[in-house]
Amino acid sequence: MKRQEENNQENNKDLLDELYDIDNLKNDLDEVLNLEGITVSESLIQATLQKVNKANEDNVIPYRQKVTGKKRGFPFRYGMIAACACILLIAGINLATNNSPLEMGNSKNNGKYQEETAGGSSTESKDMESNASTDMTEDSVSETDTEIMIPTFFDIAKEDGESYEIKMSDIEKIVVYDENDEVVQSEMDSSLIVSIYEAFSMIDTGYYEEVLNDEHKGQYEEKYAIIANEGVDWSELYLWITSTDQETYIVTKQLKTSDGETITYQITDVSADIIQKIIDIAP
Amino acid sequence: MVARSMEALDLEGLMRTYGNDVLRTAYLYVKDIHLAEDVFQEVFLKVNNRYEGFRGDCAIRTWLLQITINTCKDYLKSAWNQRVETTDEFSTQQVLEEGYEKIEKKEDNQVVKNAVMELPDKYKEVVLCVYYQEMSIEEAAYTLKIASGTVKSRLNRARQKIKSSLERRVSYEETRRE
Repeated sequence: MKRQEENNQENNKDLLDELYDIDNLKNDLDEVLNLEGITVSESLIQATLQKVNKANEDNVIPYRQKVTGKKRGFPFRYGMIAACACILLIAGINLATNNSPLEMGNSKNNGKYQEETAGGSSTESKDMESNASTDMTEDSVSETDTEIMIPTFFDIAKEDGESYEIKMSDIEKIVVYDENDEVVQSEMDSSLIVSIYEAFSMIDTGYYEEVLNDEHKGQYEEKYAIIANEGVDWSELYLWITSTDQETYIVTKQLKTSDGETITYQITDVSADIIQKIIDIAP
Repeated sequence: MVARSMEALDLEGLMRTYGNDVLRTAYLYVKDIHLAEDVFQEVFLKVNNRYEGFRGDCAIRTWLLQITINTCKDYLKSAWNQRVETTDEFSTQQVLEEGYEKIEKKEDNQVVKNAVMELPDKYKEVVLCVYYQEMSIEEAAYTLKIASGTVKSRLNRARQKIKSSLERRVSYEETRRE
């Protein structure tokens, strides 16, 4: 059986050598790709020159439009200011006519007080019902608030329940490393940083597995070092992308705080589509 | 450096000298001659707009190919976002079928070409820059905005991947013979 496998391997090697010697790739690529037929035609050159000339002519017009556009901008800005003022006015009126949160809290306390001390008059019991329904509403509001507070990819929770929020505005730069830990990109413009931040934000954080203070081990596909601006409560956030199979990836994120604390999380089953988008941004 | 921006831009001359390089590079990325021609036009529009800022840090050919590659990547990103899933499945199917046909016909060049073109983008572009465009490691690093060491390591990984891709095809052929 083993001998048969060895024979098969030898046959494969012979076939491979017969098929192609990889060392010749550099010399042969021109012939292999066979792109002689793809040449620039005279019409393509002329069409491109025409397009360039047209663009050069058009460049004069947008400048004029820009100047007049600025003049038009003033009323627009006043309009925006007026709209904002209206919104603030309406919000102010609403605040003045409704109970303030403080008063709402007091009514809640009143309910409790009534429950403990008051007699059983119908008016009072209606008040109690009313207060109870207010409590219910408040509870449901606070439940909704809790739902909104679901942690995002860039909320890194500490053991005590508090969390570090990695805001885009706190990021000084992002360094990208390849699988050999060599820097691929260290200087990127802000739009690229925004794209990377947004792409990572798409990762579903529903599959957290905490790996407390453990360094990342093993081969990875790419590593990102997100460096914080000065004066922020964290200093670096490292992200490792590890391939598991063709369809899913593992993302390990490790936050180094300004106090020297290290917090590590691992997210499994991250979709290959999201990872592909991230890698495509800064290949 | 100042002299560079003082030189008048001879766009037509650039197109005639380096046009084939630009068009072929674009074709290798977008895999369609009409799209490649669109990219060609966009590249030279960008050259027209950015020539003032070109400081001559690298050869003009390297600069042109850098713009070409970035334009192609931008196009592919937008195309990827707009793609319809069924179209993608169909093209994958098509590639597979074409691949098997080529093995049967033993068109070695086509098989090797497929192995190169099926490489993940980051490996393919290094192979194309260094082997096809005959750039130095440093030029490829500049063009692709990556470190020289990364060019070397990706080139090495690309060779390994091409080799294993060819081995898989050989194994497949062997199985078919049995």
